[in-house]
Amino acid sequence: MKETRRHFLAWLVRITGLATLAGFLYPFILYLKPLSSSISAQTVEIPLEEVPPGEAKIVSYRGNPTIVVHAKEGMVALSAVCTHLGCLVRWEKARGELFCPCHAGRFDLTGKVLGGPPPRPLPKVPVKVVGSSIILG
Amino acid sequence: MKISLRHKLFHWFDERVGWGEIAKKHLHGYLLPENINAWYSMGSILLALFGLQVLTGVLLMIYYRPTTEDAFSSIRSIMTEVPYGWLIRSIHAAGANVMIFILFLHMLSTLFMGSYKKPRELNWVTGCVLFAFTLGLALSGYLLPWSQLSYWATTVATNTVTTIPRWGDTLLLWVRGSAQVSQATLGRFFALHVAVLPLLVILFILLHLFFVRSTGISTPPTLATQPRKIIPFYPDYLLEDLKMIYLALALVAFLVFFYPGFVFPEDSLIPADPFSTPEHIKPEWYFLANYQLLRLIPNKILGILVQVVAGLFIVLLPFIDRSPERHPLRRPAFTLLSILALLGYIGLIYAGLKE
Amino acid sequence: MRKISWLAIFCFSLFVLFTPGWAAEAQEEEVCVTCHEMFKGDMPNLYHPVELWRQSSHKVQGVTCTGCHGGNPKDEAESMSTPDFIGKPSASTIPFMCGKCHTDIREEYLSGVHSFTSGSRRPTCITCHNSHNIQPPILENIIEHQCVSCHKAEEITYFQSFILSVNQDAEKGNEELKMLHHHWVDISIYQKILNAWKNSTRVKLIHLSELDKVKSETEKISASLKEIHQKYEIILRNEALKKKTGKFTIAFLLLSAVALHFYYREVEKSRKR
Repeated sequence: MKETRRHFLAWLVRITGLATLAGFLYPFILYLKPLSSSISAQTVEIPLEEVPPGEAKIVSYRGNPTIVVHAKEGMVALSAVCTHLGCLVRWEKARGELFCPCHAGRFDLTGKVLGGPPPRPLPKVPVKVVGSSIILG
Repeated sequence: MKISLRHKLFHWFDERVGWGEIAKKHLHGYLLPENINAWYSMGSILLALFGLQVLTGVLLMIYYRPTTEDAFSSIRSIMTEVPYGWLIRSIHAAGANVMIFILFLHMLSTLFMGSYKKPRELNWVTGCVLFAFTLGLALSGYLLPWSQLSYWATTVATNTVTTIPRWGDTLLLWVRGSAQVSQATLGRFFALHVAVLPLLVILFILLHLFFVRSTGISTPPTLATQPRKIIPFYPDYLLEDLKMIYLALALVAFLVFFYPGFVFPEDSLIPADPFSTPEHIKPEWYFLANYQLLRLIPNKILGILVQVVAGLFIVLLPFIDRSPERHPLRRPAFTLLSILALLGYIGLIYAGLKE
Repeated sequence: MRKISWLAIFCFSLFVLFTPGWAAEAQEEEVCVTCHEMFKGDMPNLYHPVELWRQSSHKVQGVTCTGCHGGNPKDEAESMSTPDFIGKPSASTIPFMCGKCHTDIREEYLSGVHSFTSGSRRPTCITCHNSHNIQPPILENIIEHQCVSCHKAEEITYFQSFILSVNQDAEKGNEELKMLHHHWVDISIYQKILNAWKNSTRVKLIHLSELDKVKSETEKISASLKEIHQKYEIILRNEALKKKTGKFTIAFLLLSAVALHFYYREVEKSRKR
């Protein structure tokens, strides 16, 4: 009888100890939760004159750098994050290509890899021109 | 199979680290006197609360921005936007109050039980230093939210150094880093609060514990004979310590959930305005007695001097009171004087609250 | 003529005798009031304004006769001969008389429908605020008495209740803001909007006297009030949850301490054995 009482208490103490730990950890971990949820599901509007024909501009879209190119074919928007190691690509006007300065990755305006180490194409971002503004998303 | 693997791992490390020996010496083999009581758990509570302060403090540093423009809004975002930010900050603020309260109890029990006496003079002195550092942490942390309360409490507190003759004004400039409390002050206090003082506290906790282990824990002077050392620290007495820690945590939780106004008074809700002093600016309860004494003694220098002398007297107590008698009832004069001093201290706090 | 200048000297000596604290009133009362007080017995019409003014909020604010009527209170002979002196204003000059100080209210009034009303039916400042006994009117009681001659009763009560309900919402919003403030919400923007409503917007709207304009203006404040209320409700819910969590946490910590206590006693017993 004595032994069971002691065993019960030992377990109880262990459980409360674990519960205390969990009680502390739960808010502490949630405290570190990334704060990105508020910027998702938003469209981005840029005035058309900020991206004249032949030029490009990097903007933030849903927290990610996105390159908007005013090409001959029309307005193009791609993720600006190189799929190799995450540097930002830039618009090479003369060659009509996107170029990553870190390891010389090259992409065309559909996002396809033309050369260099990038393993995957750049993801596309929906874009349209409405009146005098460019709308992403 | 699993147990034997655990065993193997333990022995692999034990051969290299020798932790079996350490555990034997400091855990199972560390025997405490038979008549030890709850008052001797205060140190453990303080250690646990300090750990909690470090943990919550590190978490707060993640979102806190130590600039005069951003400090208050970052605090506001911690309180309203960051998940459980209010909880972390409330624990940090309430924990500080409870820690200082327990620190008082720890020192009072040492005082009345004569535990500061030979051979434990160094335990007492390092304890006093820890007390001073803890108050320093409280004072420096107070400025960081950059609220009206922070700003003006710090203005008043730093102003006291001007009472020092000749160098007072220069010293004030060095403490604040500028003529008024400003970004320079915030930077200084931030560095003190998150780096300098915590490191010093950790260092002195180690020293304090080292002295406690080398002199052995003091025992209540209640038994006629030398008490036998029979209670193993681990696992037995740790349970008693944990019990007291849980009670202290319950006190913290009470302040956090049901008495937030105690930790965050009205003026702490308003961002600092260097051009408007709030009506009733008052220090926290643990500085209230000192503040009240300064107001009662009309001469500023005298007021500070009295406190410095009293502080020195307390720190040097083991070297002044050298009689070996420890039982409070067998040294009635000392006990009576201590009680009167304590009542006076509480009276000053009460008077400060009343005004 | 000589008699009057003797009176002037008498008045002037009175003025000199007055302590500086009374100087402002004394200066004004010097000529206007002392002379008009002399009419108390036989020409009450000329005395009455003085008595009314003494009960007015203008008196409290230190606005004296010349503030509205112009004239020179220091020179008894010339007191009513200066070019800016207006003894009895016509209905069309009243808005400009009051509008000397209350400039924005004048603009609101002049652009509102009341100022376009012609003839004797045209309400002016004094219709609601009285002449001489100038008072800040209370919305609840002025409207019915003054407006029924032109407006339908239900129109009046609608206008009245509309402004009053926004007013009440604003009061409630103020209370909710206090609570938000105690929960670390930044209320400075809302406070500005509510203060503007209390101090000027509300007054302007009443003087505009056009329900459609009033409605579109009040929509702004109603939107803010709605936002405040939403935040208030969220905090109220969180607080209830917080209190519950608090009770649970404290109970858990205390019970854990009890469990540890009993477990320690068991361990102690087995050690003694």
